[in-house]
Amino acid sequence: MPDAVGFFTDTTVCIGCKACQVACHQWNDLPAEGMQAADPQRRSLPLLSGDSYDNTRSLSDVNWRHVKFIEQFSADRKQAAWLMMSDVCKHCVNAPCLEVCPTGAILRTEFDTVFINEPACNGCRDCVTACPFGVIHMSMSRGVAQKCTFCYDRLRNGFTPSCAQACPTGSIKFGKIAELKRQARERLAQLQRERDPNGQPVWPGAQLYGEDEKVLGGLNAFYLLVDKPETYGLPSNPKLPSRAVPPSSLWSVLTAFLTALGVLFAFRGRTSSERRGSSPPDSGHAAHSAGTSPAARPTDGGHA
Amino acid sequence: MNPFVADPEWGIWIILYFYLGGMASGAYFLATLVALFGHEEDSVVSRVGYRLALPLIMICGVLLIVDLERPDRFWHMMFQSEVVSSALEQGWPLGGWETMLYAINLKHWSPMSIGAWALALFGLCATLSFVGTLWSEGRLNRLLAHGIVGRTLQVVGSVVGFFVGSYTGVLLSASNQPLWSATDWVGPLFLASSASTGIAAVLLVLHVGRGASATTLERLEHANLWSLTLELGVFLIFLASLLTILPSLERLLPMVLETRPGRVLVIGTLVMALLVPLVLHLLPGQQAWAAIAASVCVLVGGYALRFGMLETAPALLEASHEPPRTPVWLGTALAVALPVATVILIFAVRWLLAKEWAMTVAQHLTVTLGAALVCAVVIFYAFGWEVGLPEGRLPGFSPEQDRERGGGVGASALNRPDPPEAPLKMRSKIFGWVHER
Repeated sequence: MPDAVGFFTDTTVCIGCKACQVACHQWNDLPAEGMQAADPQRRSLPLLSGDSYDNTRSLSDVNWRHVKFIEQFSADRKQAAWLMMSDVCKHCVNAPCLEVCPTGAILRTEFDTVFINEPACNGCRDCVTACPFGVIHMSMSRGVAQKCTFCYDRLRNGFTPSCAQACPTGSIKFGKIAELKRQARERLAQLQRERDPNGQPVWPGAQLYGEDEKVLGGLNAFYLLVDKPETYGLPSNPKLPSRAVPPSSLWSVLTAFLTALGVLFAFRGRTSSERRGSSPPDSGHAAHSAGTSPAARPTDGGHA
Repeated sequence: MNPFVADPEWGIWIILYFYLGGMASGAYFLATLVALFGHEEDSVVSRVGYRLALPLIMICGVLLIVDLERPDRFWHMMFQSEVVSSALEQGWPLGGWETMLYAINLKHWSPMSIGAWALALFGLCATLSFVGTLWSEGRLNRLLAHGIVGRTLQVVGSVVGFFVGSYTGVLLSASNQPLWSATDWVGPLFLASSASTGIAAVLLVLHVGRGASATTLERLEHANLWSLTLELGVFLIFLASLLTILPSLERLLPMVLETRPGRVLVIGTLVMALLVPLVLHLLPGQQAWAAIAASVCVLVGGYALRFGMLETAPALLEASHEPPRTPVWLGTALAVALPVATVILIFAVRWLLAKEWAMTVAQHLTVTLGAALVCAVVIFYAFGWEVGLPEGRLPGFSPEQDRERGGGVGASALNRPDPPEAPLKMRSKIFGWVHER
C-alpha cells in the first residue's frame, strides 16, 4: 500500500497566475466555462465576472482547481491587500461525500485520496449536500458528480498531479503527508517569527488549516492561511453527516411511538354516542371500549 | 451555518416524493393499526389506507428515478455496479453468485442508502397488502390480510413505511446544508406530518366516498386530531431548535423568516397544516364540511412543509452573500416569544381537547405529559442549551467517523474500477468482513 499523499498549499506564495487551473483543465480535458453557455451568442465570449481577477467564481463541474482572489481593504479604504488561494477538493480523512454516497461511486484510493468512479455515479446529488466545502458539482452534460481526482491516473503511473507540477512558485506542494506536515510546520514557524520594524508580528493570523485532526480528521489537501478560515471561504467546524443520524432517528422513533398511541386512542376509545350511553367517565384503560362497540376483537383489514 | 456549501438543486421531484411518500406511509400505518387493533366496523379505513398507499408509493418510485441525472442507473442505489459487472462476467446467474452477494450495497450510516432498501421493501409490502384488499374473501385475501403471513406483512410494512416517512428528514439533517443540518428535528417533523397527511387523505376519501359510518368517521377525526396535536408539538420543538445560538452568535430562525420559502415553511405550515385544521376539528358538533376542509388544509400544509424545508436551504445560501438584514434583537425577541406562545398554545389545545372530547385518564395523562415535555424542550432550546445526544455518543456508527490518515477504505465501498484482486476475494463490509489486499 503506497503512503498517503496530499497537497500542502502555502497561500502566502500564491501569485494568482492560475497555472494550476490551466494545467488541470488540460490534463483532465475539461471544457472552458464560456463554451458551456446556453446562449450561442455568448459561447465565444470570455466570461467576465467583474469580481476581482476571478472569472470562474468557484469550483464547479469543469473547474476542479479554482484560484480565489480575496480583496481586503482598511477601514478608510486607503490600504488594500490581496489574499490568493488555489482551492481544490480537500480529500478529507473523514470524507462526508464518501460517507453518504449511496451508490459506492465515491471511493477511497490506495493513496488515501477521494475519487469519484464515474461509471457508478447515478447523479443523486447527496454528495453535493454533504460536502462542507462546496467542492462537488453535477455535470449536466455527463450526468454525474465531478470533482478533483487528485490526478489518480497520474499517481498510479508515478507522476505528480498536474496542478502541483505546473505551480511556478511552489505554492502547491505535492508529497507524502508526513513530509508535507513537516514543511508546513516549519513554514508556519518562520512566518510567526517575522516581525515588522515596530516589533509587531507581520503575520498575526498565520495558521494551518486541515493539517491536524481538527477538521474532519484532517485534510489531505491542507492550507497555510494568514487570516481566519472563513475569510477564505473555508468553514471552521465542518461535520460528518452521519453525526445527525442517531439523534434524529431516536426522536423519530419516539414520534412514531406517540403517533401509534394516538391512533390507538382514537380507534379503541369511546365515540360520542358511547359517551352519551355511559354516564360516569370510566377510569379504565383506554383500550377498554365501553358499551355499544362490538366485541374487542381485531378486525380483518381485508374486507368490509 | 456553513455558507460555503453548494446547492444540490433538489427540486420539485424530491419535494413531491417527500410529500407523497410520507402520505403513503401514514396511510399504510393507519391501515395496519386499524386492521390489528380496530373494530370490525372500521375495517373500511384499513382497506382505503392500503389502496391509497400503493399508487402513492409507485408515483414516488417514478419521481425518484426521474430526479436522477442518470435515471438508467437507479439500481446502483442498491447494488455496486462494478461488482455486478464482474459477477456478470463470471456468468451470473449460472455462476458468480458469491460475487453477486458482495454486490449488495447497504450503508446503514447513510440515510439515502438505507432509504433505497426501505423504499423497495415498503413498495413490496404495499403491493401485497393492496392485492389483499382486492377480494373480500378467498385464499389470497386470507393469506395477505389475515393470519401470520398477512399480519407480519402489515407490521413489517408499517415499520419500513414509517421509516420511509421519516428517513427523508434524517437524510436532510445528514448533510452540511444550512437549516437541514442545524437541527435533529426534521426527521420527527416529517414523520408527524406523514401521519397527519396520511390520515387526512383517508379521511377525505371516506368523506367524499360516503362509504363509512358516522362512528368510523368520528374515530378517524379523532386520530387526525391526535396526529395534528403531536405534529404541533414537534413543529414547535423544531422552531425552538432553530433558536439555538450558533457559533457566529446568531440564531437561525430570524434568517429563515427573512427568506420567502422560509416564511412558507414557518407560517404556511403553522397556519395551514396545524392551526386551521385543529380549529376546524375542534368546532362544536360534527360537520362534514369542517372535516373535509380540515383534511384539505392538512394536505396543503403538508406540501408547504416539504416545499419550505427543501427550498429554504438554497435561499439561505443565496442570502448569505448579502450582509445580514435581521437585527440581533429579533432573535432574542423570538427566543422569548416562542416559549411563551408554546405554553399558551399547547395548554389551550390540551384544554380544548379535554373539553370537546371526554378523555380517559390514560389519555389525559398522555396529553398532559406530552404538553409539559414539549414546553420543557422548547424552553431548553430557546435559552441556548443543546438538547440531543452528544456527538460521538455512538462510536463506530460510521466507519468514516474515527478513521485516521491512511486508515484503510473507511466508508468507501469496494466498487473499484479495477479491483486490486479477483472479485471472489472481495469482502463486504456489511457482513463485517474487511477489504483484503
